[in-house]
Amino acid sequence: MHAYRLHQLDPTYECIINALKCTLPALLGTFCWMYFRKPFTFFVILLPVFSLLIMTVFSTYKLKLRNLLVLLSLLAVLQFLIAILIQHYFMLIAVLFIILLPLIASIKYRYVSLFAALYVTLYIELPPGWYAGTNRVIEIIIVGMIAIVLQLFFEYCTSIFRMRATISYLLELVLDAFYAFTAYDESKIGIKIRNKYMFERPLSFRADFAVEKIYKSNSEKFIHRILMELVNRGKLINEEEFYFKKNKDYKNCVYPMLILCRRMFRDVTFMLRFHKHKKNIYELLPSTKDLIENINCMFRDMIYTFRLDVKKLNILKDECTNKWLAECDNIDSLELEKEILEFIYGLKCLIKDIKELAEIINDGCRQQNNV
Amino acid sequence: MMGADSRIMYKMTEKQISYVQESLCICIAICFGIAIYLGLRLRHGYWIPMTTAIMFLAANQGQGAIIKKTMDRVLGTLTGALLGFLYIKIFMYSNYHWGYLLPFIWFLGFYIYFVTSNYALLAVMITMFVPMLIAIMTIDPIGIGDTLIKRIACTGLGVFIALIAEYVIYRRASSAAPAMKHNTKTFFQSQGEIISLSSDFFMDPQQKTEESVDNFRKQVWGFVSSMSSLENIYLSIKYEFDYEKEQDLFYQYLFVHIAKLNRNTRKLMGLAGHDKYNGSIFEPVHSKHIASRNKDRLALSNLKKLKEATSMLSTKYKNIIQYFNGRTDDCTDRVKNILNAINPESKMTPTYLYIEVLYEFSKLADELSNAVYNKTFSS
Repeated sequence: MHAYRLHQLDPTYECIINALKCTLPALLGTFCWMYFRKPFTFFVILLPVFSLLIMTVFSTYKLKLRNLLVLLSLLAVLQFLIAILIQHYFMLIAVLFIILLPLIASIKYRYVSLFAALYVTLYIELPPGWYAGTNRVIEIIIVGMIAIVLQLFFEYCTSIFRMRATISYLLELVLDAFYAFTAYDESKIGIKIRNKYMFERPLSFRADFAVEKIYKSNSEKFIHRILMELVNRGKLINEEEFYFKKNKDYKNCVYPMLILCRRMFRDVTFMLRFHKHKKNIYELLPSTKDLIENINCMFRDMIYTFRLDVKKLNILKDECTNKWLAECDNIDSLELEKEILEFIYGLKCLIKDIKELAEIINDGCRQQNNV
Repeated sequence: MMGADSRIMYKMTEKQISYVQESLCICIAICFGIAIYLGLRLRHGYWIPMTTAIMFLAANQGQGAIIKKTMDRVLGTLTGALLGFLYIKIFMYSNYHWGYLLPFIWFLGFYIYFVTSNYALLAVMITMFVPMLIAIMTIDPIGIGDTLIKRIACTGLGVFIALIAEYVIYRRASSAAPAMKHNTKTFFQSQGEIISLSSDFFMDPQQKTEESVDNFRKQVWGFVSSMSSLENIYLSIKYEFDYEKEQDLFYQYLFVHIAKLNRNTRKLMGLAGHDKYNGSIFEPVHSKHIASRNKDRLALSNLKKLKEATSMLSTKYKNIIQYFNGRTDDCTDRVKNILNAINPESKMTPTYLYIEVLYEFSKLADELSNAVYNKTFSS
């Protein structure tokens, strides 16, 4: 139960990977320090950690590497200046001011320059002189090598894993949304939603939490959270540019799934008022309950198949779908309210999209084995 | 010389000018912190400019973020210093093997920080580990307990310098209000663009080429990104120096409206993605007696009307600021007339739902414009 809850806190494993990104460079830096000992300062432990940490802001590997090089070059130059100017306080402050002012004012390198300014203040404490300055330049080069190697290592080892986790999480969210808005027994919604823990995070400081206080109903809050998760988590597949071919291929493989996840979420939007008209809908279309159950099973099956890549997925049961579609053809639209019409339309679209996604998952699993 | 300077400034955009002003504020604050440290020769005085620089790292999210993070920073420093002190003095003092547990604590601390995005936790981690690392790695003994009070005092001073600089030097440069305005404008512009492109796809599916679909996705991405940015800015804008209650009412009203618009946008995109326009829904109930030429003429005339109304609606969203200033139009009535012309038996068709969604869009734009113009957000 606890493991499950932990998984729910970080369903795409982004936090655990970022925490590893902060720990591994520190351990590697500690190893360097223990091996070479004297010439290194504590920066050999801290700098690779925070260099990798700020690189998470940039979405393409080119930007990441470019900004990393800019940051480290800037630090090398500035710490060297500090080492030789430390006896001349006024001169030192004036030089730092003149160098930092245009850099922080630039739109392109603002973030990196601010970070360099933060680190530069720590270098003032360290031993001065040409010799110490040169030593630290070597240290920064080693730090750069650690950061670049680990950056590539993390991209190589974790990207596919993260993309797969992202897609299965987004599918879970669409299933949650579908279940919450179409469940037969409303009292079970709270129990059966898979990602309910994403909503209970103590100490969290997130924008979507702040905005949600404005909304009046729980359904508005719920749909907003799911939308924001779809937007924010989807960035990995939508925006990130990868360096390694296997990651690029996998991204191309899962991109249509991301598009379909969004499309299915749009389909669910048509069903938001289902509970209000539930009675009428069940009278008009008696096989709705079976169809909804069938779709729920199909969703779970899709998530399981995609996550574990174990078996070939079954497509939706045709007899159930056809029966429901036949019932739809026979109803009199004149009497119907707009919200019921929307529900019927949304469900029809969802059936189409689920079938499409099931085919992609079957094909995708095969492609993925070839990657 | 002054003339040349002003010409350079004139060529710079508003954003660039505010960046230069912000940079001036940041550099003055950091250099002032360094001057205090060097001038007073304070032990561990580097903590002053470091804290000031950390505070300004938040400047990317605006002034409010700096102020909010001030509280987190102070709280985090106190907790972190205390935890570091206890760890060194209680555990590691009695048995140095406790030091091997540090990477695990480091990992756990960062994991919790990434899960919660709570800045106070990051401040705890930094304050706990940096002095500890220095203590472990330097040959000269540094008593953690001795430096505890000094570090807390330096943090207080660094935070104070950052706040004073933020308040005194170009206060408005780091305000998030222009970014909020810009993102609101981008949001409504992309909303207009989405309506226009969705309608093109729905009414003329031949336009659905790979290139146009890619362009459409970019628009949608711009739309959701601006919405996400608006939420992020709203998170910290509340803490700004000049923030007023009326602004908050407006933002709340805006976010409620954005949620409604989002719902409609998803419906519109869902309809355009799955179906296409069907002109036969305008045929009267007893249409058997009407010649096919007349039917075609009717369908064409309604399609033309619908295209005009859609284009008007799209323009309305793209120029929403003008409507906020009192401009009005008859777009809602036009869509309503088209809706009324539909044969009631054709209500099950996607085209009917599509026009309904357009009608909702137009009503929402009117509602929002009226509220902004008359300043009736609370209602």
